[in-house]
Formats: sequence, C-alpha cells, structure tokens
Amino acid sequence: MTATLNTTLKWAVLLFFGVFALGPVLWMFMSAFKTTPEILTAPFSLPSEWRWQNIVRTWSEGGFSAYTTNTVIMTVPAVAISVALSTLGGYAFARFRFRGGSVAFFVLLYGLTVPFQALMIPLFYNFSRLGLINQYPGLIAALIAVHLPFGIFLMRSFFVNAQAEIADAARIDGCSEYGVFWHAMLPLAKPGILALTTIFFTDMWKAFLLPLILIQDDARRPLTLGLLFLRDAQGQQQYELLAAGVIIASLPTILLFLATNRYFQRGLVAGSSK
Amino acid sequence: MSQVEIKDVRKRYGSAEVIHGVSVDVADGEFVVLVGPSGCGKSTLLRMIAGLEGISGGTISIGGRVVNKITPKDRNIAMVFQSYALYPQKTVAQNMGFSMKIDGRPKAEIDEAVREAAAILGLEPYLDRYPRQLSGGQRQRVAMGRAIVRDPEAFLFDEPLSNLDAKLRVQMRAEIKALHQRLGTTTIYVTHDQIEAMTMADRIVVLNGGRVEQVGPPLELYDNPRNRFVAGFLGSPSINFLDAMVDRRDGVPAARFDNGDVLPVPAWVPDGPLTVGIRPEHLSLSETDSGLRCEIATVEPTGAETLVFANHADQPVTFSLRGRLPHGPGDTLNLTPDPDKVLFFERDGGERILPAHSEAA
Repeated sequence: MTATLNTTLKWAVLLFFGVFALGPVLWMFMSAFKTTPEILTAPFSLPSEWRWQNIVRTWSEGGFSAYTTNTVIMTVPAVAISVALSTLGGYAFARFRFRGGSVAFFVLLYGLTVPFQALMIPLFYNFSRLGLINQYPGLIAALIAVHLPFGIFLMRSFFVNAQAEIADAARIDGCSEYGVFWHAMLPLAKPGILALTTIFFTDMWKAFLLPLILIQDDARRPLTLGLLFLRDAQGQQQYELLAAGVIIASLPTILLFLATNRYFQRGLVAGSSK
Repeated sequence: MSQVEIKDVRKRYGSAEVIHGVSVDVADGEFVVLVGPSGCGKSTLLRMIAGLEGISGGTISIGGRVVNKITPKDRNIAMVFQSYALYPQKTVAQNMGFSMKIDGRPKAEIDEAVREAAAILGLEPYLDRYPRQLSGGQRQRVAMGRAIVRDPEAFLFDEPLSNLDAKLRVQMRAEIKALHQRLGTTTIYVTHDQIEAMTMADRIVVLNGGRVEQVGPPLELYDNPRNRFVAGFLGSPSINFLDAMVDRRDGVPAARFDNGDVLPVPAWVPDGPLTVGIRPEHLSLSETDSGLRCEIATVEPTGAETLVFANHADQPVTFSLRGRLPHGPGDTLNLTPDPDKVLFFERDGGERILPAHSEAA
C-alpha cells in the first residue's frame, strides 16, 4: 500500500515538473503552426491546420537565414577560442606552481562574481572608443572574456583530479611539457572539454545582452536580436512567426545537448568525487 | 655499465628537509628494494632518480653519468607506477610503443619491440584492447611492457603491486623477479611491504625519516639488524621486544624481567636497562618451568603453522610454531628463546648492542 502511494507520489511530482518544464516548449511548438488570431483565441489547443509555411516564412522573409549565419559567425569562433583558452588556463592553474598563481586564480574567480549588468555601460563605452561596435571581432572578444572565468574554473577542476602519474609516465616516455599536455592530459579531460563546449555553445548561441549592446546594424544581428526585432511589413508582431523563430533558434542547442548529454552530466559533477 | 650511484642526496621543500643525505650504490644488474614506512622518503628518492623531482643536494649518476640536471626522458630509465599510469585512450600496443613513437622510430621497429615485450609478458592476445578492458594484473603487466620496450639502463618500480589483491600480488612478485632474472636490467623497487622486499631483493635499503637505516642482503638484515627499527620493520610477524634489566647478581649475566623471569645472556652484554629482541620463530615451548612465562591471548592456526599472541609481563609476545598447539587463550606457556638468536638493543636510541669485536652489516 505504502509502495503504491510512494509510486503515485513520485509520478505526481515528476508529472508536475515535467509539465512545468515542457509546457511552455509545447505551447511554443504548437503556436508556431497557428495564426495570430488562433493563438489569441485558442492558446492551448492544437493548431486547426499545421502551417509549415510559418517556419519557411520566418526563415526567408523574417531574415532568419541571415540571423542564423550571423549567430554561427559569432558563436563558433567564440566557443572554439574560449574552450581552447579555458583548457590551457585550467591546466596551467591545476598543474603548475608559478609566482602569483593563486592571486591570478583569485582574480579570475572574482570575474565569476561580477554581474554582467555592472559591465554593460563601461563595456559599451570602451568598445565604441575602440571602434569595435558592430564588429564581430569585438563581439567575439567580449563573449570570450565573460565566459573565460567559468571555463578556466571548470577545466582546472578536471585537471586537478586527473591522475598525475600519467603525466609522469609521459615525461619518462619522452614527452616535452607540451607533449605531456597534448598526449597525456588533454585526452583525460575530454569529458570536461565536451561539457564545456556544450555549456559555452548553448550560452553564446542564446547570448542576448552582449549583442544587444555591441551590435546595432540589423545585417549583423544574431538570432536572439532577430526575434526581438521581428515584425511584419506593418510593424506588427506576429506571434506565430515569433514562435517559429524560437524553434529555429533553439534547434541547434537542443541537438548539441542531446548529442553530448552523457559528457555534459559527467562534466557537471567534475571534482565532486575522485 | 648501468649502475646507479646515489651520493649524499638531499631533498628540501622550502626549509623542510625530507631526505637527509642518502647514499646508495646499485650495481649493474642488481635488484635493490627501497623499503620503509609511509613518509620515509622512498618514493621521493625514486622520483628523484627518475628526474620527476628536483635534487636539492648531492649527485645521482646512472651508467656513470651524473643526471642531476637531465630531464626524465634523457635519463634512459623506465618507471612502473602504482596506479599503472597507462594512457586510457591508447590500446595496449600503443601504450607500450608510445616512447618509441615519440622518439620517431619507424613503425616496423616499434611493432617488433612491442611484440617481443608482449611475448615476454604473455600480453599478445590483448594488444588491441584498451586499458579499461583489462584486469589489474594485466594492466600492471602492460605497464611493465611499456618499461621493457624502452630497453632502459634501469627499471624503477614505485609500489607496483599495492593496487592488486593478495593472491595476484604474490603471483606478480614472482613474475617481476623472473623478469629481472631474464633481462638482467638494474632495478630499483620501492615498497612499504617488507615481504616484497625480503622475497625480491638482492639488497634491501631500509629507509626511515629520510635516512638510510641499513643496507644489505635480505637475510643479512633479518639476522643482523643494526637497530631496533630495522629489526622491527623486517619480519612478519614482527620481532618481539621485551624490556629487561641486565645484572650479574649471582655472578652470571642475566636479563631480569618485571615478572621475575630470568634469561641468561652472553657475558659481553653490559649491565643496565636494555631491550631484548626475539623473533617469533626463535621461541620454543619449554619442557621445564624455566623460560618466559606467557599468558596466551589468541591463537591463530594457519594450518602449516600456529601463531600464538601472548603477554609476558604486560608486553605482547608473538610466537610461531610448526604444527598444532594443544592450548587456548588464558593458558600459561613457558617459552625458551634460541640463545644464539637473541638480539639486544639499547633502551634509549634503539641501537643494537654487539660484542666489542663484531659489527652488524
């Protein structure tokens, strides 16, 4: 009896949180195939007709093909460079003793605690003075800068827990310090690197505030800003196109997350046990 | 010529010195075991020989060449670690051939060397497997294979059997010994397990607190320990230490114990307080009322022999005998030591007391 009750309770809790988490996604998914009046009159019903053309319209007329390209141009180099720098930085902090090392790490951790809102205005002024507004290199540099503290912190915990004797074995096998990193330590950190790539990709793909501040030219806007400024010819917001835009915008991150889910979970618990 | 010479080697971390001027010569082809309790500096010393730790003082030479400033890869040594330290993303063959690959040797030569080493260690069926697909013993064999492929001047083993279960440890012990006899490579082996030291070594170096306590062949150290530490460290079950007072009250030198027992001692033993050391196998059941009166605490029959844990004047005594014992806990036994095998140690400092004309190794 108690067991049945327990099971029922467990499923009730799971169902509640499942609806809580997936409800908005389902609602968005269904809205993408409706018309605006239909969304307003029957928000929770299934679409009367599956209007696939909404997706096509958003992609072509809404300019989402260009926004997607812009997002790729912004995200891919930023993720690649920040993962590479995080890995190198994390390795250095984990494995080498150097003068000022702990102070540098402390300063880096401090970067984790500064809210982005506090950086927005100085960032805008500095970037505009440097002529980096509306420039991808500027946006990419800013994305890397705000993500590095977390990246280095995560990768450091991976390398701290990696077996030191493997590095010693590589040294004896004839590796230089660079070789030790490349041949022995980097392969051990693969789950961490994949987890970090997923985290960074998701975070940068949906970056909103930074592009909002640094990109004003519509031709260079990423998907997130595209959604914000999506209007029809009359300047009206069309909800079905917005919902379709959200689907287009979130698809790559969902696919990446599904592909690396295994490593992602392992990455999140890094350092919790040996 | 691949002897290893360690001369007055020191290691400091900041102001704390952990190795205080250790000197050991390892002859070409010799199997030397560095043994000691945790924290005695044995692994640090081995890592200094390998070049994985810097040397704060003294010199280390391998094959007649001082290697103090030489990187690990250029010392021409191979090391086997406690945790095996295999590359998880490489197959057994790739693990074994990695050093040659880094050295830029042709693939055919690498394959040949890997095959030879695998044949020696019985690893041929596993060459394409990954370390995670192997058992602990097989992994340790791969680690040894990796060392063999390098064809080094010296093998360094850092507690290689500690991660294995008891049965496998005994088997691998024999395999390492056989490997050494086959290859004849100079070997320095670190362990905290005195059984490994006793069974494998040509010579044992007993380390304690960053100093060498004694160096010598296993049985020489066992029979003639220089001090109480070495006597207590080697041997399982451990030697018995019994505090006594020596005098010549009746004209004969004798050690007197707190409970009134008297043990005749050689004439060269000085009067005063000392510690008597008797190995468990050097005690036998006395036919008479004389000897050491011990009360049995526990009896451990192991089949071939029986271990008896007893108390003598509030000091623990272990005694082993071949065969069975018709006594149980609470019974009192009279034990007589073999007079030729009894050792005497200073009560303070623990140095061995020897006749004036002789000296322990």
